[in-house]
Amino acid sequence: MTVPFVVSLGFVAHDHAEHRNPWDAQRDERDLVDLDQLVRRALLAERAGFAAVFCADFLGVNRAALERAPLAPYEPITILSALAATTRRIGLVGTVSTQFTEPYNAARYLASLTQISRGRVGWNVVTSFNGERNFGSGKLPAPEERYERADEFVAVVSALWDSWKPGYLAGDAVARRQVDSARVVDIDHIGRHFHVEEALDIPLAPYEHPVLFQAGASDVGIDFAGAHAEAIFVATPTEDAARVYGERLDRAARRHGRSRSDIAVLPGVRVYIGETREEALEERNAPVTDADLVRHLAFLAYEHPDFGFAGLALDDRIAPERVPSVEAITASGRRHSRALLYRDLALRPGVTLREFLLDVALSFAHLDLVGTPATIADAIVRWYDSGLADGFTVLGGSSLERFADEVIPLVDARTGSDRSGSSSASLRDRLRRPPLSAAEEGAG
Amino acid sequence: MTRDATARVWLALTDAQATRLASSPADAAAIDARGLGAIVIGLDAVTGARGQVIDAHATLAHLSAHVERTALLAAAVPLLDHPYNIARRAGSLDLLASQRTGVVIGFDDATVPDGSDAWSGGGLGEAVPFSTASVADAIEVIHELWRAWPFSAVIADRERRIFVDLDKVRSIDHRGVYAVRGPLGAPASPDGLPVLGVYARDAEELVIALSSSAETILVTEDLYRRASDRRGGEVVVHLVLHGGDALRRAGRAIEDGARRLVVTLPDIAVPALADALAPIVALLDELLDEAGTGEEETA
Repeated sequence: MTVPFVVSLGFVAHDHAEHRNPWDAQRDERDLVDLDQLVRRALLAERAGFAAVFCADFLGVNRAALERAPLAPYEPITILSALAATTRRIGLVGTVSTQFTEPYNAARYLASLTQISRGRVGWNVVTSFNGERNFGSGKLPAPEERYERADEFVAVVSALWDSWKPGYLAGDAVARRQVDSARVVDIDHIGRHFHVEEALDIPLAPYEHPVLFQAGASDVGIDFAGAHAEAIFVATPTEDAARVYGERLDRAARRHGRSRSDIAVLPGVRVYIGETREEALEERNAPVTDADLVRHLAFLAYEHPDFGFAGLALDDRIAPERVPSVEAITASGRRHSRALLYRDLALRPGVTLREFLLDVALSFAHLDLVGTPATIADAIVRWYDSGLADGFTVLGGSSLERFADEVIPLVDARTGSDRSGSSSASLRDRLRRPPLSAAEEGAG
Repeated sequence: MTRDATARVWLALTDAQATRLASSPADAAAIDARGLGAIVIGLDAVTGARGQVIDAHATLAHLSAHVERTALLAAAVPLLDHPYNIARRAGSLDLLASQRTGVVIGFDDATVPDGSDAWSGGGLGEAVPFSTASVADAIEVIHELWRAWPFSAVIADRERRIFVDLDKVRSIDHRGVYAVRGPLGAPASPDGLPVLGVYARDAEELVIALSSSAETILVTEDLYRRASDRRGGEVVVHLVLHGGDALRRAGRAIEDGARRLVVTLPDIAVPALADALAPIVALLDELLDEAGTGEEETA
């Protein structure tokens, strides 16, 4: 069994954890948009056996973060189309919002990328927790409404992808027809949010649907995942959090007639590697200055205004009454699942604002693995073997090269797998756990 | 044959040709080697000729790995696409490509039924009836968004640990047919701004195009004289040429004064496109030579 790893484009772009100033090691400002460097490192990830590169998205500008570096210089479909030209095997997972895109266009973008990449695509379905400032003067709908729209959106996109039926290639040289139009069938969709009559104007075939990724962690987000997701990015900073998440996802999948095993859970992880744990910890914490922490507080308040902590100095303890309530967080209408994890971090007894911000700034409530290559590989295998994770999304850390060269081989040695053998498999198959053998089923 | 004349000829691919080229990097490299001014993808939907529509931006981003010097232009219509999304995708392509890139905004999308509203952002804003006015406003949104965050704002000040000078990054607070605050989430390319073009098919669209912020205006043959009287060298005439008529019509456009041509050759297979353009380039070259025009020309 091969533990699948997905790598975020941000980590591919910069050989640094994002808490470092990403331009520290660069020649000049233009390195920010150095496509050649991005391509070289995407090829490194491909050679190392990563299943996919994942491009997140942020529809807007968070000025507090922008002062340090742009969050996402590239629009996902554009950069993944460019990477499709230079890579051959690695999956390409792009984020497309169901709130700020039309489903017909989304279906066409993703079908185009599928054709260009010869079937290596994943679609990270997001309902977007920001972006409304650029699309009119209205307010962002509540999560329930956004997910209801997303539900119909996914159905429309899926129907469009299926609108070219098998056998559509007529191959009729005499009649000079290439496409049998009778096999291109209009979808005639009339729903609450969308009216789409015609078939898509580009086939997805001969490729399968893009793998459907999702990252929602609220109740309604998990329910959506249970209905649709094939792979999940999730922030589970501890084994307990992962266990609870897995149970919730299991129930959601069952509600929709599916099984938890239909879904690959890929927790976000940052990996800090040293010769000793102390060295790795130093690698993790040292680059963060007080100014960075203050900036990060502004960043946090942009997403979750209740986490302002006005008047608190960095070394002051956070009194529990300063921590926003569950009700206040869920009433915000934004991405409250992550804010609830931040709340847990802020409620740790005696925690100072500095300690809280350090954890939030470094991990964003994702899993941090800090140690030697051996201890990190052990943790990865433990999470995988115990079913807490079906793979990982590597978001950052010390060095992509070190993870590729020193950690992945140890993981493969411990699991008895040969990653090179799986690289020709489809993205969908690379993310799936192998079916249990009869002996294993009997033992279970 | 001068490089000047070659660069004044742009190649507009049909959707079928674009789909083919996307899977044929060698053909893309061969076209690039000719030194044409630009490759344009996506005009079929604008002009009403429908085919299999591979996404123009995705295709050009893909081709940018194989095309080094020919400008890459994508047609886009603010009907199913919001101007913020168009500006963003085009800006992203411009950031990653080494050559000039840009968009050509059209007034119609043949893939969408007449009478549809323009997509205005997930139901957050007012409905936007699709019209020449909505397209005109979209052009201004795109123009403003590209200028809201110049690359010079990226200062990478290691001493102060500040990457971007926020004073140089401004919101556009556009309140027209569309309401867009901006800026985009990334700076403009260090090499400058993308090309902003507009495609006019009739007198009404031409009036909008001429008064817009677009710096390049593509027109059909019959509009060329009227357009060039107003905007001269910024006007590019679009010729859709079939068979034996091709050279005669190209010659007539050149005699009419056209100095930049965007040519679609629907009947020619992709590998033969560059060769098929050669007589037109030669014709233009001859005329430029007679007129003594020597300046370099690119999109």
